[in-house]
Amino acid sequence: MLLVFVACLFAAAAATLIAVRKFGTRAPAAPAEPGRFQQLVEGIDAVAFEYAPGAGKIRYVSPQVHRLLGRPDTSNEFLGDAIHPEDRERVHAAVREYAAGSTTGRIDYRLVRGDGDVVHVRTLLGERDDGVVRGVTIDATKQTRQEAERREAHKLASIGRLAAGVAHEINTPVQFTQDSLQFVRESMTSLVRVIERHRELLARTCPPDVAAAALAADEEADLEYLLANVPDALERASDGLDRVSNIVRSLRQLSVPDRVDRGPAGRTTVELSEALGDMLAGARDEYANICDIVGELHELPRVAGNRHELRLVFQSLVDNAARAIADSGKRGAITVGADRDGDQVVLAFADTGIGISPDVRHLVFEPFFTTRAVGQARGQGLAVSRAVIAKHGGTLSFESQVGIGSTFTIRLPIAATGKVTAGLGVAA
Amino acid sequence: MNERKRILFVDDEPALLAALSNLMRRERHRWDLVFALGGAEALRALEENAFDVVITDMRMPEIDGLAVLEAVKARSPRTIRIILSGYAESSLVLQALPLVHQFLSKPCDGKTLRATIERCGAGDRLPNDKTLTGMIGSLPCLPSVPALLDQLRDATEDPDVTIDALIAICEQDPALAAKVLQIANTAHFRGDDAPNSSIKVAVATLGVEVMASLAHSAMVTLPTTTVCQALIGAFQQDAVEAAHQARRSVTDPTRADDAYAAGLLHDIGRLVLAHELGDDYLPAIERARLTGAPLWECERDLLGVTHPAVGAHLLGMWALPQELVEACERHHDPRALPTRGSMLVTAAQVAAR
Repeated sequence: MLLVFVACLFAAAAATLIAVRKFGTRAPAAPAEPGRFQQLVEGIDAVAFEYAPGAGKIRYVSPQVHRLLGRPDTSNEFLGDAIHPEDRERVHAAVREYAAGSTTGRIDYRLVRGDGDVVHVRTLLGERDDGVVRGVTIDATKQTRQEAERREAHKLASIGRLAAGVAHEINTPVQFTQDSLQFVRESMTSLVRVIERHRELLARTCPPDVAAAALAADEEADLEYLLANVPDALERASDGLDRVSNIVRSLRQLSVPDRVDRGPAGRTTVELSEALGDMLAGARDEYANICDIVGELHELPRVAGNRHELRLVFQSLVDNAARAIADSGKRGAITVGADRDGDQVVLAFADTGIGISPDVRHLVFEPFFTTRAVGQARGQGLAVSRAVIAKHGGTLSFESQVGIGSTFTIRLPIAATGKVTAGLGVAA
Repeated sequence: MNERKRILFVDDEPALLAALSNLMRRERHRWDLVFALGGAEALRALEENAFDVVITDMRMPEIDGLAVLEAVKARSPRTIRIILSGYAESSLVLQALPLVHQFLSKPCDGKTLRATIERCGAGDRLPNDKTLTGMIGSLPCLPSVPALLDQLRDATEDPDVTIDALIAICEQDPALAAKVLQIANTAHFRGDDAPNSSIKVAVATLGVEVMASLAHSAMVTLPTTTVCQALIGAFQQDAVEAAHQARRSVTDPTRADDAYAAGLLHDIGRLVLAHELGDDYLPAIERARLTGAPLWECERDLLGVTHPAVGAHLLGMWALPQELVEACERHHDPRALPTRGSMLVTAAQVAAR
């Protein structure tokens, strides 16, 4: 809804500007006294332009273009080389079609700034005549990011709802299957006792031919094997069910709760250095054969959040890093770094593992995406981690180079000082 | 107390009932188990029999779990009402809780289920008085100190409130503390973690939003009479003082918060008696004051019950951690010293001096 509003706003702005431009062409000889309209054009937070797609020439571009591109636009690249190479063709086609009468006057694409940064922009095309198109371009980086975040939250919320429904449907059969298994296990113990007792009695009191027939029946049924293996089989079945219910439980974590249902994500102040330190100490032992784990973690600020949940996120990042290193076949290192950036604390988990291949990078945060063989991973780790960090008002992102390693970065808001009672932490 | 425990299980899934009846078969010598397929059958079973414990699914067609528990409460308030649910939103749990003593979630293993039923020792502590156990069973909550409840409501409406501020309030009010510990120890909020006796951890587990819903729900209340209000005011001050003493009495710093809770709740039976008896509780208090005899002796002589037993019955019904129930029950019992007594019983005894 907000977007529609923004779009309307800028369409209106575009219309105004076109009027301005008309005024400008009609009175080109007034540079000495820049009119109100020109002031207006050059004062808004957008780039107004007039472009001739046939000639590929920009006839006018307002000076805000410098700010947008992060450099003076000396060679008129604004609608040319400054466009991200992957988008260039599409943008030109859209402008040409618009000039020829198409009604699609909105183009979203990327510009490459002087410093190499990429900005997301939106161009709204307005008036066209004589093969000339006029319009405005706005910096849409923030909107694009917000939109992506909203989509992400929306997706997680619907997965959460699905998970809740699935949980309800699955937990009842899991309950009675579990109960039945438990019953069979308990009964097995009694049955084994009875069988042993019967054998004893047989051996003592039966005529030899009856005892031999009983023994033959035992062998026929492979009784020794059954007695030895049925308990293990039941144990396995029960473990399998436990896994099923664990998956259902962690799936529920994906839902970013809304205001009314914040669920178990209770917040208190968390001592990051302590939560991380604990976990790293354990990980050092566990992965001693795979990698070294180094970390500079003293003097970390406190964050508001749930210690238990944050710890699980840290743990799963370190587990992933260790596995990436193990896959590389070389001994490596995990470096955990912490830094403060304004009112955020930045935690980076860097590994020297195999890296993440570019063709799957966009899938890394998808629930159930995994590069592990079937059965070796639960596959919801990073999706759950990201949801947990989002619940804490933070972000989880990564950079990766194949063959060199990956770095996962968590940003969390620092707990406001003054509102924090010192030393209050929740025991796990 | 050699009466057999009577338990009713309600679910709309026949396979679940069959599996449960298999699983519980080995308890047949001590428990009478009835299995009702769905709400309507449960209501018929309730008409025929009284039960000590009812364990029901939440979502069922037509007559759901809450309707079943409404009927149980109306018919037999002393019966312990337990939900065994596949999945519930926090908001649904809160909505159900005034009616529910304990909340389990599926899948719940046989051991937990048996232990839960085992702990429902209705009548074990109290004389076989259905009025008294019924009255305790009907309590959705205990009255809070009005000023503290106001503070909690104001705090949860402040957008910048921190959980620490809410903890500070709950640590002052025994009624709130008991309720918060009950909710945080339900399967929904506690998950697979060990039982939790710390008020800090309990409030942090629930979070600001849940605390806000709680502060405005039917799970908090105010004293209804002036006598009750006066008794509660005095009781609250004693309780906070006792809590601090209990905290100081333990040497293990990781148990300090648990000891605090044991101190704050050890006399919660006094709150129950003040709330339920009002004026009728005064003679016992007066006699204790005049003769210097222990309050529980005067209660025993005049009322036939004692506040440790009443408090422990309530906390047990609400499934607070066993160590808190014991601390409440045995804080005047010298035999509880140090051999078998848990650390919290000792802390509560220090608090009671």
